[in-house]
Amino acid sequence: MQASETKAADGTSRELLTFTLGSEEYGIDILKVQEIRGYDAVTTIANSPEFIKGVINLRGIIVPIIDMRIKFNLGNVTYNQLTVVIILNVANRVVGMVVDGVSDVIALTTEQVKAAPEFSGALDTQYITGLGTVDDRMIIIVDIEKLMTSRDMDLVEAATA
Amino acid sequence: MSIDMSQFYQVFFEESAEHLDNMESLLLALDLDAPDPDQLNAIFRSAHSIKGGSGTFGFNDMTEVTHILETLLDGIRKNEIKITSDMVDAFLQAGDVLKGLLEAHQNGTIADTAPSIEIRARLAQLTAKGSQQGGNTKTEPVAPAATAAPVSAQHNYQVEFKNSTDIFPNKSDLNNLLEELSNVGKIENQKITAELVTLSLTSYASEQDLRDTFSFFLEPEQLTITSLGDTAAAAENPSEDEQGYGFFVEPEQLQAATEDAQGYGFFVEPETLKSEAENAQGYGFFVDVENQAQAATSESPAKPDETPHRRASDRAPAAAAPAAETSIRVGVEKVDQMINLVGELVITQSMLAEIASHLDPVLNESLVSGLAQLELNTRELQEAVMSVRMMPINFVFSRFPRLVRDLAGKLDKKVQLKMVGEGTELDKGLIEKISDPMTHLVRNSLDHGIEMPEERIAKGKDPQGTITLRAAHQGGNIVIQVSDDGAGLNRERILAKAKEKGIPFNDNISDADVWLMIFAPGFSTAAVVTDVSGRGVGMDVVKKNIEGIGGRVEIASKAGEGSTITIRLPLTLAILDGLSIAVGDQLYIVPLSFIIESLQPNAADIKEISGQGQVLHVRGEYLPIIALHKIFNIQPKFTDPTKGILVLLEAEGQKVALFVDDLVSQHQVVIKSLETNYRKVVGVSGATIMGDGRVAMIMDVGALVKFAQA
Repeated sequence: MQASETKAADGTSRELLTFTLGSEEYGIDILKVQEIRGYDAVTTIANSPEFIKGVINLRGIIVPIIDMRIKFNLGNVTYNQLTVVIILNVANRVVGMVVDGVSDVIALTTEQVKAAPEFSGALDTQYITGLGTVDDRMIIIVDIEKLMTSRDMDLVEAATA
Repeated sequence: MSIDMSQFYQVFFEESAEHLDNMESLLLALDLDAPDPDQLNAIFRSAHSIKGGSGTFGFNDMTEVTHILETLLDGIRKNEIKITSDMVDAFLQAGDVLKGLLEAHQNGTIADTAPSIEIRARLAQLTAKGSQQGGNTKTEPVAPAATAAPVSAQHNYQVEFKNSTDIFPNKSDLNNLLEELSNVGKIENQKITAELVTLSLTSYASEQDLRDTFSFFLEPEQLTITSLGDTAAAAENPSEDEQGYGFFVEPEQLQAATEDAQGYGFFVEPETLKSEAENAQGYGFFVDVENQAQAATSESPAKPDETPHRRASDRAPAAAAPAAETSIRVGVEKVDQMINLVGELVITQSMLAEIASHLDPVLNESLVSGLAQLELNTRELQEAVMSVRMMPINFVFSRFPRLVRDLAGKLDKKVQLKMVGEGTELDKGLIEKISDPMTHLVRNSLDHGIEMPEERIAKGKDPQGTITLRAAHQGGNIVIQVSDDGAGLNRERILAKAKEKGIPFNDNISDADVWLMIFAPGFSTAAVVTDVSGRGVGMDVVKKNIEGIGGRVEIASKAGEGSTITIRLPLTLAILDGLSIAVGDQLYIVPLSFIIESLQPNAADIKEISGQGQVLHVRGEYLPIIALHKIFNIQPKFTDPTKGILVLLEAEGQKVALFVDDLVSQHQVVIKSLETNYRKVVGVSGATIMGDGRVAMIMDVGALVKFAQA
């Protein structure tokens, strides 16, 4: 998956949805985003990891909600009217993730994307496809599908991860 | 005409498969000593329909096999050939060959011709042998071409009808009529006057057919058709007629009779008054030239009675069948979509009901009553839609008579199969998934359960063993049992095998736990691996498959008396009756079928067992108390059972008391899978959407009970 993403980056430009977690700005492929909505009451799932907030009813579909702020120890975890959930469509699953805020939709050309150096961040470098620069901002480009289906997220059955 | 026949192929394939299944079940049900003519006819009709269809679509290989099959069947149903068990075997084999051919056509592949040639030879041999042995018949040994021979004799009619400008405003109208008549038969002595047209007609068509031809032009009372009897040529060929319709008519009867292909025909001797008989049918204008003057004789009503009877049994079911089964074939995905949509509708309806419950019922009276009506309609719609998916379990059961017969033959065992409750309905999805596990169980019972006849006699049992398949509704479940009166499970042998396999067990392990060991992978106690069973791959797959559809398996067995395997399945996969319970701020659904009762306990009834937790004393029983908030790590409202509610649950033969904060209400909920977007959660079997739009988890009671045992 990573390979195909980088190949796509060789083209002229790609569109990313950017969001903030703490002080960092992340970008994900906009085609993986189904919708953005506010944070609703969730139904907790017993004995699940703390970052899995629970499930919500999204027009008849049961959708699990992950709080990325808890998962990656970023930002301050509060839930109010401004809390945003990005509903993703990855690997034929619908998953919601809570982030600090959604900032922008940007188009990045190949020249603007640099390979990510090895560094120890909150996010394992294997899920980072590159670093983009827009004006003076640095955007961490994440392979969201790979991240969501990874064993770290505990979202899918171990066998399929 | 260039019609693309392939668009009808699918219908043919489905219908033929149905006919083959039908034929097989009838063959198996047939009593060889006194075969029921109705059943023989039904078998013949099935074969005939397949032949007709395959001929139409040009599947000649199938036509050839069915043709020989039909010839032999025809002999049997006319009592010319005595049916033997050899023939039934051959018929069943032919059915299999046809199934193979059908499948090949369906997949567009070319079938192996060897089996069809073989079965054709076998059937032809049986036909030849059968007709020799039954040589007392009036007809020739059944000739292959006979069934295709033309059936009716030629009839001579005198036709008279009014001619006026009212009836035929244009001359071309009359010409059209005459032209149509000339298509039907040969017109002679045609006389046309201003008032009347007379002509004689020689035709194969029945009188009714002729009347149908006229009905476009004339009122019935303006028309007179008189039969002048049949031509001699037709009467000389009675055997041909027998081949086609299977009844016997003396030539002289046939000569005078009006052949009526509509099935109204009465075969009446000439001296009985035809007009009388025909009058009863409403053909008041029928006049027999020769017998006009004769009065009805007293025996005349009896005579026509006999012949139509034979005929009715021959033809009426064939004609009635398509009319009775008015059904349409619909793709399963369409039905499933409908069920999903209705599920959404139910949720929306309960959402509305929830909102309306906060309104003042006096001010909003009409809204409230409208919503009540909506609830009623929704529920009925839901039931109706769900029933579309429901099928009788006979769809699974019906394959076993054949299986048992074949296997018993192979193993030299005598076995009879009893089926109880075949009409029990369950979800189509379950039907498909239950059939493989059941096949395993029946094979096991036959191979390992039922003993050899000698052994059974030595034990003082009936040499013929019995396997019973039972299906019934029990609460919210379908219970399916496979029981045999064989040797029963052998405790020592299972334990020895368990030791060999390295499965740990306690020395004083209970029987029930011993029996459950046979579900371990690779477990087989069969002394010899046969091609029937004994490879030890069966039972663990059975258990896994059944648990996969939310069912459970139980075994009861008694040495020397047989064993019973019970499968419990949910009624349907999509909807559940549940009780919602509250713990802390969370809501859970408990399937109603597991709930025995709920109560608020007295402090005196709750006992502590050191290190084991609490038990509830209720009516002489001690039940372990499971605190839901502890299992699910929720902050509860109460931690003292006497302040909350205990829900008594029963699953897997175990009773537990579930401690919750409160009971909320009873719902019908649509089961939503958690696994679609998430994964399996221990203790939860699914989720549902409540009236307020929130998600509630459905508890997996079986897992909770296991939790109590751990």
